Amino acid sequence: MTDCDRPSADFPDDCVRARALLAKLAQGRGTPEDSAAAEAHIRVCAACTEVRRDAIVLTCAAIAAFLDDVITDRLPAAKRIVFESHLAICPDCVRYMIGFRSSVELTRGVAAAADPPPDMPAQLIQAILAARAAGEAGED
Amino acid sequence: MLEGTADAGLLVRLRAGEESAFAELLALHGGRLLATAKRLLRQDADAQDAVQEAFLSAFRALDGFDGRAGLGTWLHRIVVNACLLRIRKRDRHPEPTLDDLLPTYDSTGHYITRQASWADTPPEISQRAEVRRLVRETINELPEGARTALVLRDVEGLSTADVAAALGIESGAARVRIHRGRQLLKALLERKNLSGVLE
Ligand SMILES: [Zn+2]
Ligand SMILES: [Zn+2]
Repeated sequence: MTDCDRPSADFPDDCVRARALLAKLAQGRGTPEDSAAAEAHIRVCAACTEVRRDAIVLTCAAIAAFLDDVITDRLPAAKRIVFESHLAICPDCVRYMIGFRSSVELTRGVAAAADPPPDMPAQLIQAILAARAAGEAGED
Repeated sequence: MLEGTADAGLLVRLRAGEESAFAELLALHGGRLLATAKRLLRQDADAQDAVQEAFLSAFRALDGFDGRAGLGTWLHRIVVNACLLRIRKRDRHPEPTLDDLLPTYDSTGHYITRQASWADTPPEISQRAEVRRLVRETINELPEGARTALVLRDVEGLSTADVAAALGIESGAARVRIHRGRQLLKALLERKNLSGVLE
């Protein structure tokens, strides 16, 4: 894999812009004009062409393995660019990512503060206190 | 800060063996810890036994408690360990692996089938009690290894490293289990067509 963090020295601004467009497309917010603009730059930029090639070469299976880091924002920047470029060309991975993230959010919601924790049954409290007292007596 | 101060006072009384301090500790943390035990063990009676066991071993370990973690966090760890011990001791029933629910890829590594569209879940939906109940039930359908790892990570909020430590496995293996649990849960939720979540 290339060092995708380092934009091409020839047109650094264009690279940053192109990769921002790819990221936007990956989130499903891009327009056809965004896509055309990104592609126009990628055609003339060796560094971005390489990033794009990695994105195409990278399989959906490999992309799925990034998701745990993506949802906790821990994906290293270099991998994120490849990840986002793959998403820009792969609607299935976009759908999978959205579902994956939503599903984890729902899971986290299970323990949400909105549910008061169940009361500790009085009989359980008594049983624990009694077992403790019995243990103390046993030690003496 | 406040919690720490309250902990310090309670801890002194616990170490002095004050009966009312133990009752206070149970009332303060018992409900939350019982909820954790129920999520891990699924059965009420089992969860109560584990909580009792955990509190008794915590009482015995009070002198060794260094106070760095806070009583609540410390007790949570002890309850989690008591539950995991019980899960390990349980008779292993053969259970479906649900592998057929994992995504399938063609020879070039791309998805074979069109992936389901989820609505970008608004946070409110997970606030709905019936959604939470449905998700809880669905988590309980996961195979044991994946379920335990996912509950520890995403419900109980442990870090991946702490999940690995609790399960006594390498951190890479914990990552794999958590990932698998998340993938399976997503597929199970899709199969139930959780209303308002799927587009
Ligand atoms: Zn470029
Ligand atoms: Zn893909």
